[in-house]
Amino acid sequence: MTAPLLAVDGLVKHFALSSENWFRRERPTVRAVDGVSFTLGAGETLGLVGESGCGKSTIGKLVLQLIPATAGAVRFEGRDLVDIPAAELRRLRREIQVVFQDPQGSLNPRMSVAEIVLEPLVAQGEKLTPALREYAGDLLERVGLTRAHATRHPHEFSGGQRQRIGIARAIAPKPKLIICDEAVSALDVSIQAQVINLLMDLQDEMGLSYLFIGHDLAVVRHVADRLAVMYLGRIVETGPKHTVYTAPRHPYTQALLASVPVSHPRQRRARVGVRGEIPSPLAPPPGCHFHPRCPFAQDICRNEAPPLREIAADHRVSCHFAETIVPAKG
Amino acid sequence: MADTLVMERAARPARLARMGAGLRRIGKSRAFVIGAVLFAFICLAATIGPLFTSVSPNALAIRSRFQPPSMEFWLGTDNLGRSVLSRVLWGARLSLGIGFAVVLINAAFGVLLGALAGYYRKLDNILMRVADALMAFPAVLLAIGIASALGPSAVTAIVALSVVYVPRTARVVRASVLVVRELDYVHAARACGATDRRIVMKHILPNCMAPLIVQLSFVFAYAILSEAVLSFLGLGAPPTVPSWGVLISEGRAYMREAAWLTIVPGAAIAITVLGLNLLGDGLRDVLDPRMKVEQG
Repeated sequence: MTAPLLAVDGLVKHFALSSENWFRRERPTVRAVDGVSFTLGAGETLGLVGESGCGKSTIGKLVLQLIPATAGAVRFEGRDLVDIPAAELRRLRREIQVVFQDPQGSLNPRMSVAEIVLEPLVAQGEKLTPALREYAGDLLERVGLTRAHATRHPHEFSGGQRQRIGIARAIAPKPKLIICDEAVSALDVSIQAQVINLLMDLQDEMGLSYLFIGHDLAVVRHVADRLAVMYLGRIVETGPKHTVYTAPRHPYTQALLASVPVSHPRQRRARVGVRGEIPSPLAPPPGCHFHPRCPFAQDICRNEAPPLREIAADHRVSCHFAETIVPAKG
Repeated sequence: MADTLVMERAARPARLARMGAGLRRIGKSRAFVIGAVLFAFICLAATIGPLFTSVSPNALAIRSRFQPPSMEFWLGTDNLGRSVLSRVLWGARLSLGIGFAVVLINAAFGVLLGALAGYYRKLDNILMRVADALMAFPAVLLAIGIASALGPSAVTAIVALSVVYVPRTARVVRASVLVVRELDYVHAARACGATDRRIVMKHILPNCMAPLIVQLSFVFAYAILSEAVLSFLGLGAPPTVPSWGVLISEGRAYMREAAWLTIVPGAAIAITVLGLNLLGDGLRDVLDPRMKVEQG
């Protein structure tokens, strides 16, 4: 593979909470993202999965530079977005767009659909000419709406249509990377399929890369080329989709996959027991974050955090016993 | 090109239909309709009323002092024989004018300071602590203090009332900015590379209008009431200009003999404030989405 389009390296994001004790200096911090690294090639889709609260949406915001990173680098085409001049970052923003989860809140209710779709261009200083309005019509047709929709307002559309408007806005500046932050999670299943197909068609046409953040493993399996599984702010397993789905080595990935209902009785996997709740990111357990819930936990897991090790080509797992834990199969 | 023209033309009826729907919803709010009628009546009286009164508000007629309401003087005359009707109508211009000026200043500075405080969190602490300090004083007391320091005049009243009410309006704007700035479309705009100015002007403020409009209608009412208080205490418009507060103040000495001298301007203030408050309540019912759900 050539140089990756996006390379995230050692990304850390801590949120400082306001201290309960006014006189104590140290403030409790949430380690939302705790040293995450991954790469994403041109035209590729990386699925980022995990439970809610594991930090996957925070990674999306960090890549978009909507919130400042505590540490680490976000390299886009080799340039570190974390410390480039503001003017250059603003120009680069054309290349990275976003589709949000909530089709209700992601469109400005006071703007017409044409204005919304053209916002990435107008915000960069382009004039709202008739030619540009024409382009808005093209975009709407491309995402399965009609030109006549351009003058309407968001409240006149259904959730699926609004998400199409959001996608039209994302592709308007012809970006290279789109962050899909739970982009289909709020939609009905039938509409999900349509929107996913639209996203995949657009990828083929425009050579887009997606960072596809989601919690629905069935959906992510459908769109992703590679997969990264997150738990409590860290990536626990990453690799090609096929490898991670068929031969997961991290106990958490196994448990996550086992939780997906399988329609065919013969294909059902053995259930992997996971006890308890996801711990608070305010006080993550020492050693391997997963050890309190892990059925295979040993003493070493309680003391030493396992590094993300490459156990096969492009397949990395952060578990001390990745080699000995057999892939759970049905 | 032809297509865009068609689009533009199609937009107009759609927009009109939307406005029509909005008007119908407003029309359903009884508070709004009554308030609007009362306020429109007062505004109309203030604008065209003085044209129909033949008597100048300062025309003295010593022979006809303390005339009770009659065919000649509909609302009677005062201690110098001046027509109360004429004076109340002229006073309406001044009282409403001061109220409107305060509303305009509130809209400008309230939005500016509220947007700054809500959007730039570092300014927030400074601006809001100053606002807290100003709001710690009872509104009328602070207005009296400022007005007496600056000397009595209509401009003084406007300045004093603006200082009192701008922090309150800024608070309301800041609160809505804090909510809207975290919405996804604002994040999306920032991810597109929109400048702070564009984000605030195009994405945040247009979506903060509803609570601001409601707040301004109340500021209008409070400003008229407080201006009357200032004038009553001799800190507002000087007595030659008949604002409603001045009229009450002048009539106070003759309350037993000529009650109409205080009742008439008092009623004018009451109607205006009641109208504006009902208007504000109605607007809040219509504009607040949470209320919308209940109304179905």
